[in-house]
Amino acid sequence: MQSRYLPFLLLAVMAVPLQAADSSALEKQYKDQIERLLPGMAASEIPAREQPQQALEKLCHQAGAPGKEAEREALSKAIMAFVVPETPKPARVWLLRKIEPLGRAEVVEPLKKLIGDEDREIADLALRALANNPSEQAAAALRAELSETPKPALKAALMNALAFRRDAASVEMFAKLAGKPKPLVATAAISALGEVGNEAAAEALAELRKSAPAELKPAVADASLRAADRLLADNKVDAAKAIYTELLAAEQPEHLRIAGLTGLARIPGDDRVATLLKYATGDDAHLRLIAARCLSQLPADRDTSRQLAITLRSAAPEVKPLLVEVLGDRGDPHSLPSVMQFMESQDDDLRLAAYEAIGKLGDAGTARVLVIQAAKAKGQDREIIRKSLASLRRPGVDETILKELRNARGAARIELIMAVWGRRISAAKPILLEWANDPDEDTRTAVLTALERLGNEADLPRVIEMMVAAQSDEGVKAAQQAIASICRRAGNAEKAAPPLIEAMDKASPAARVAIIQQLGKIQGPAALGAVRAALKSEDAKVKEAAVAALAEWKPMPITNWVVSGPFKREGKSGTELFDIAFAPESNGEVQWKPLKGAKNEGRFNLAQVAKGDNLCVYVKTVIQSGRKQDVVFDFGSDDGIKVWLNGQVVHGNNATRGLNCYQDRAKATLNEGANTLLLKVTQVAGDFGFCASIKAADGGPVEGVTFEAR
Amino acid sequence: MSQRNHVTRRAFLHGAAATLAAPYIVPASALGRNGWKPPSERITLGFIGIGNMGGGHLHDVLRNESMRRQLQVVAVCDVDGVKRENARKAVEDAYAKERNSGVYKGCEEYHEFEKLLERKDIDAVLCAVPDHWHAIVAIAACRAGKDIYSEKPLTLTIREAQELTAAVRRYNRVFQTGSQQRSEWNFRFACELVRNGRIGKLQTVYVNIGEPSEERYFPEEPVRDRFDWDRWLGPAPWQPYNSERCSGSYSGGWRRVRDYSGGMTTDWGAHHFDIGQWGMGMDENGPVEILPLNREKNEPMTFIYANGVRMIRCQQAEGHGSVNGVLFVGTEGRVEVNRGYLKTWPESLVNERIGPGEIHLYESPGHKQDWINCIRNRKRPICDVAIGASSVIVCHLGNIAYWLQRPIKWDPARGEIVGDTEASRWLDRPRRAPWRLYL
Repeated sequence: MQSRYLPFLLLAVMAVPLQAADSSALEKQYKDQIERLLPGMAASEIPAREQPQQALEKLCHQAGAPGKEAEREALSKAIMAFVVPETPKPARVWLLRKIEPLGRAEVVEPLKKLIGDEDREIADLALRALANNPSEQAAAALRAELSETPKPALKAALMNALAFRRDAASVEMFAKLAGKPKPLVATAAISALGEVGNEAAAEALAELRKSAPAELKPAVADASLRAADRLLADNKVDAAKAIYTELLAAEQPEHLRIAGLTGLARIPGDDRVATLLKYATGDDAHLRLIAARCLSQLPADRDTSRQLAITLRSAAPEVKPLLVEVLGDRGDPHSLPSVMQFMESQDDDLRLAAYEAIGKLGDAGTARVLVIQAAKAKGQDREIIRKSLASLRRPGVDETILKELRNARGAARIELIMAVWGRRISAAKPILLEWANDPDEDTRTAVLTALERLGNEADLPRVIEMMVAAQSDEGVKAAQQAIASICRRAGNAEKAAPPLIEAMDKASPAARVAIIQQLGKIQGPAALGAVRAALKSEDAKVKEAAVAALAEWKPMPITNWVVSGPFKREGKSGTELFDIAFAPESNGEVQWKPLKGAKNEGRFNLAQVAKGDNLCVYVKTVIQSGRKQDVVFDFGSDDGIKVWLNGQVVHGNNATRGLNCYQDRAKATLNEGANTLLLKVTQVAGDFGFCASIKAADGGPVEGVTFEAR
Repeated sequence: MSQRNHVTRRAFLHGAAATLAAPYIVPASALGRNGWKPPSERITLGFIGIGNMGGGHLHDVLRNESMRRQLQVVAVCDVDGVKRENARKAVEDAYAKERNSGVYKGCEEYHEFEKLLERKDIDAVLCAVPDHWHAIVAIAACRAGKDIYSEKPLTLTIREAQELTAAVRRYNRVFQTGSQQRSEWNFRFACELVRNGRIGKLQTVYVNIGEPSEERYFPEEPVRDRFDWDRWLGPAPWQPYNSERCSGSYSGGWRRVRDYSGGMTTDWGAHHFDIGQWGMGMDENGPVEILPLNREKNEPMTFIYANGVRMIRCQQAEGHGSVNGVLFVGTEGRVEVNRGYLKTWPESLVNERIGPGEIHLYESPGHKQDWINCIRNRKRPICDVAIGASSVIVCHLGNIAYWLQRPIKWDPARGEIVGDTEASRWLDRPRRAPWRLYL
């Protein structure tokens, strides 16, 4: 029963500051407040518990603030005074949850008594409260219970709680229990040893690595690694190293060897690099890769780079590429000569690794070399060299490229233009625009590629001209990408529509196809008109391009709906409800209300209307159309959907699925005037929603329609 | 990592280059057989959690041609029998279309993620479980030698973030946090502008995200069919079943409940505070003081960094108006960035070029593609676990200050709250038996 005076009581509790009197008086004040809150905290209707429970929570946070130890202790004692069987369970549960981040030594005794409570929920909360209690008394209580209880499940739970505290004093018990036959107990003990991870725990785990049964070895290994990490953090380097080395041994499973090697890589010292180099050049391919990554992450000191370079000289062929990669990753420019020597290697992997590494280490002088190499290269080699040219970070590279650009010819010129693109050297644009009408198609294509990054609105007419004049598919595509990028940067794609439409008249059919494709990406009213006009073209490819462009036109989401429901039938699943006619589809009496909360693409979450499973709702809108016209609807639903237009079923899919827009499509015809669109959406379980959109039959936007939520 | 993931550089570059934008495309003929890797060369993947996000990822992996070339889904796991059955069918239907027979039966369903992780033939897992499960599942996956893509926010508590980072490092796993905004060019470019001083000295970062989670009160309902409520709760305190409590719906659901999530502070903070940290150059670092959101006094959640920069959660920024996503304000300009949106003051900054020798941030080919590349080359992906951890720790600190309604101090180097024992007890939460962080 909720008192009508409760809100006033809550205000009284929250508003009156407690006087910092002696501790008994404080405790009594808190007890009085809790007593007033108790009935509400235990209300039979769960939502009614909110205000009193939150009032107590606020008290706890206030009392737990730094410098308020007296209040904290008093409130903790007051809380525990009510954690008795006479207090209704919902209130007891809340009190225990609040004591968890608040109580210390003063709450240990009463909590201890609850560990073995018959009520599993109460026992668990008491355990949690002790686990998170920083006092030594809490740890002692948990240890005492652990040594006394015979129940395996409770033993495991107690060990989890002690592990949460990383209780070093429990290590001996953990070690003993790790040898127990019950896996529940043994695994908890082993995990706890890993959590504590001190030298005593590490010793126990070393024994277990020898003696544990096969099914427990993975848990032992993991605990050992955790212990090693903790030992390393405590500067017990030798102890940590011993564990990593043992787990790196050849007979261990691969993932443990990787962990062992990774652990050793974290220990600074003279032998670290030597160890990593040993594995980076060893027979095991996986460990080679791991060792290489560890080497890459070591500090970029010259000594390590020198050792790497020496090792590289005598490394086996299959290892060289990896070491070259490491030199590149480490970023030490002194390693540049070591990698450049492999630029013309016959070994593909080695050569490509060298190019990539040069991109990370190279300078202005290297840029010239790379341009020459790129001009000679083909396929993948050329692509990688271009990437490296784009990546060079040291000073003077851009200036070198600009200087070479003006007088370059042939393949070298192409590569320099691609470097301009890769490095976005805007100062090069005037030179590039001079080559817009160059007789060489490859040059013009490269210029267009560069303009994709460097072009602006003022360049659009020139780019469109170049697209119309392009002789190759690559050229057309490069122009299209340039136009798209320029428009995106300008923030207004539709600006490109007029010059494109103007260029259509003079363009060849192939160029017109490219223009229509571009208009399809831009969209907007001007583009739509031109694309629709192209549907009447005599050229089949132009017409095809127009059809394809319209198919990609964004549909209009329908967001004005009314909703009715939920509807259910005892014993019927959501799937079965699909075919059961409720009032909205059988002209019965229906209550409709506005549906709110439209999201992107017209998605609606119907859980706001109807919670639970095995039900359905109906949504309805009235489409006013200025004329009779064919349209296409796109639907998405979770789960099933059935659609009526003007009383006729136009679509149905009794699906059980998640919601994505455009899952289903239906063609239909709108009458001039009002058209009623009714959807039934069924819910099997889980999430519940739908979306709907409309476009014209030719794929373009539908015109002359409005939607009324009625 | 299975043997098949060890490819030569040339073969790896074939695969990686296939996904790069022009003009770095390698012709399909060079890839062999239209660029498709046979199933034996694809990375085998298990899905753990097939709700809203998991379902979306599954859809992407099955429908996106590039993903289908590189990944093979072999197992799905969920505590909801309906969801896992639907997921398995979706996988089988999708792969059946590749086969002449039109039939495919190679995806197993699992109720328990532990069983899925036991499979030696699974290389990697995509985890989209609720937040309170993230750390346990991910740590178990590390121990099982799997690489991991985990939905954000990284974890439910600060200590979980620290332990998960340690586990990933310990087992040298490739871990991608699902903070995919870092893989979008506009966020990267915005942060590069800030990091390279294009707006002068950074003073304030404004972040517009929703509310923290709270204790919530739902009436009890009968548990729905084929749904393991006890396992769904897992380490969280016992509560009676209610469909809204465990719903993945963004308008309510478990994301608003403090036992399972940090609310929008973590759900969207893992995106936008993450970008704030990236722009500030504070990855693997963090604030030193956190001021709580106080609605009565109209005081926003504020993070104060050692260098004086403040990150403020708010909807309106002084002198600017409504904040769209993340707004960086410096002495000489501003940058505002959100999904599909970038605006600068002055406008010319949007055409700026970051020169050689300046700070260039990690350029990702796409969030999942980046993860796949790193699985093969064993490098750290763009949202490596340590980055996910430092971002989610910011979120958790904001919530702790809010729930306690007082400022707290944080030591980012030591990873500890300073001088507040009660607040420190929120660094982690004991787990309901028999669950623990390390199973």
